[in-house]
Amino acid sequence: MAGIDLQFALEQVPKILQGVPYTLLVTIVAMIVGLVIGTILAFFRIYRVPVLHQLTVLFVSFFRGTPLIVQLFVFFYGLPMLILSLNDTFQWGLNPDIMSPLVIALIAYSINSASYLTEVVRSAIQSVDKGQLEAAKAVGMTTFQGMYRIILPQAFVTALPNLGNHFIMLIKASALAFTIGIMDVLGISRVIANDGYRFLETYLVAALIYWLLSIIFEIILARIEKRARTFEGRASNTA
Amino acid sequence: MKAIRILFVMVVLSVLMSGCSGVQGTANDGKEIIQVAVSAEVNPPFLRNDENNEPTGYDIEYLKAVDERLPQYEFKYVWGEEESNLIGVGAGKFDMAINWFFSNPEREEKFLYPETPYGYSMTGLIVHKDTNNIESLDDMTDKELAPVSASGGLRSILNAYNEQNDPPIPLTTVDNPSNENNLKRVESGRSDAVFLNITTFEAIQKNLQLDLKVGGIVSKEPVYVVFQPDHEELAEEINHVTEELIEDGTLPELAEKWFGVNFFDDLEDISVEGFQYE
Amino acid sequence: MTFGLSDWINILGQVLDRLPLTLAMLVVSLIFAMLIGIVIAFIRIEKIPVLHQLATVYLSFTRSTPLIVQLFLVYFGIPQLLLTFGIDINHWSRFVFVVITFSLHTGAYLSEVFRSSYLSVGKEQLEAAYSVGMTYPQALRRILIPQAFRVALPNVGNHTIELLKDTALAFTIGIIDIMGQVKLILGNNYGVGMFQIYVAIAVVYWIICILIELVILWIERSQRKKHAGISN
Repeated sequence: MAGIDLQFALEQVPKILQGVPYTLLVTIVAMIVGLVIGTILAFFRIYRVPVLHQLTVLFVSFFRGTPLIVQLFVFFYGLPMLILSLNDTFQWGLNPDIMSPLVIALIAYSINSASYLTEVVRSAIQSVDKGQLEAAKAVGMTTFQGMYRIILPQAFVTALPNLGNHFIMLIKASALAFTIGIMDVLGISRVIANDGYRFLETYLVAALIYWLLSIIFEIILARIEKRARTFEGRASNTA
Repeated sequence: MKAIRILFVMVVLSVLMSGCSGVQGTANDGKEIIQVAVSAEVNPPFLRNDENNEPTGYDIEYLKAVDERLPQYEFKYVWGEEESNLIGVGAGKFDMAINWFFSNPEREEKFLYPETPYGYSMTGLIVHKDTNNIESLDDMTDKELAPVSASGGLRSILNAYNEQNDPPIPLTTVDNPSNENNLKRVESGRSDAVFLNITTFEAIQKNLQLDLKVGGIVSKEPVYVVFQPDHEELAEEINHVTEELIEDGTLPELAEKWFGVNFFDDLEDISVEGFQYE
Repeated sequence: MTFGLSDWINILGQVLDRLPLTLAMLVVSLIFAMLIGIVIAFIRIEKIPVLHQLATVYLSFTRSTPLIVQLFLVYFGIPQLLLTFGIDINHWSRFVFVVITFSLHTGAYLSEVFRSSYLSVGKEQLEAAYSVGMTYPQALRRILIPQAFRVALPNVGNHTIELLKDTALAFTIGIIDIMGQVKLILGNNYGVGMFQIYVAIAVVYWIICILIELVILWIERSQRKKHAGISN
């Protein structure tokens, strides 16, 4: 009877765990770089900065609107093609394989993540009453000070559940990095599974590892959220 | 608390997946319906879709010939990706799956394989036209092989080689590698060889006319249908019909039709028959 | 490999043929996901005993395991489970199974969006509503929901688009959607022209996505007009 071979599944755990550092690396880099880029782009949109505003809309639209796997392929196959054609045109001798798959994955994930976080940051900032910024100015703060001390800390609290959502989405999305050769949790699982067609066992182990990772980060996020809400009056402590 | 929660789910999942038995329906005319999972990663000429997205190719014509001789059954074809199909066969959702499956001991433990293969797949190393020092996998240990997929029969052959030999062949993994891209890597010298099915290479070569050739045939792999483990009777019946179809020339004919070569002949005979690549 | 114009028209025609199926999966799943999201958000905000804990486990599992595993569980696991009770749902259309999977998956995310936007409105507004004599349903309808709706809207848009792209997974169990058709074309081609075809499918997804964004923007604008005084 084709049930689940728990012993086989257990034996694979240490091997599959070796993928965790790559999963975390991609997730965390994409989160941090994405949040920085996303915040800048959110301001372009909120203040309707000419040209940059339109470019941001286009950027967000494209990277949100196309499947990540397609973006990975476009970067993975496209960058060497671009370098090769540059070589042809300008008689350069650049090595088309100069960027490792890991670097390509980090770039692709950061850009993709930024497009999502732009919207998260924007919606959070706009949820804060605009009168507060005016009040900040009324007591002599500059716009930057008002943003930094009054608006952003509150926006951060509003955004936290969505940032959490996004972070956990990134953990799972990082599994696609395997398509360009990164040996993350799902990548190792599939290689192991193939020899005995034991996809179910290895997928279950992978799923549990993803779940465990998410639970750990959910606990951390819940702590931050609780802290942020407790200190709501002095929210800048946590921002 | 969290650990208990995880354990709980793991148990539930195991129960979900293991409490399974064959699901067999019956058609209106009293025939037993056999659910055949067809791999959505099409690989002509074994398998492809026609204009109406119905499966066709050598695999399907073989199964139709089998179905004709087993009047008690009616085969129903269901598309699905290979991994999903195999899980489905294991879980009892499908009765059998077809997609030029290679055999190895681990796989035979998990699924029921018939004795007789319904065809063969020839695997080979594709090299640049001017390369003359690559003929077998042994020549690849210090060379660069173009990226290979993590799953599938080709990967299994390479994994088996690497387990038995030292030094191993260095492998780069990519999901669903683009054959076109891989072949162009070899043509431009960025990789030394591609490990590929000869028929696949031939078909691409017709389109692209690259400066490539077959460096050497690595193996002639028998390909099988895989069955749900408790379908011994069905497997036995189909196995019997398959033997008949090979003996009476039906399958060799189909092979000629789809591949242009009767792969039921010996490898040497095939080479003599003009399956030489220059 | 370069494709001629007629090849492209042929490829695009085949792909667009499958567009209604992709959109049907999207719309049907989204409607169910919203219902699930509202119910779960309500349970979590009101902290209804037992249901609250169940909802937390459900959220945790759905949000943190790969969608593909969930699809396999629904497609292969649930029929097996029901079969032990004598209920045979294996003959159900595969469409039903993907809709169940996607609704449960997206519903989990939407419940978090709804919850966080509800909480963002602030309790003092509810108190203010009570002080002018409104009942809770009145306050909900006139004060809380309109504001929460505006906070939630961009994120609902996000998840709609996410769902659109997730529908590509349906091909795993053999539903030939637009992505499935692309993979079949590539398979028949032996992967020739992979880069170009992937760029082309990206554009198709992008166009659908822009249409979704326009709808969201239109709703956002019409809402903003109604509440011009509050934050703009």
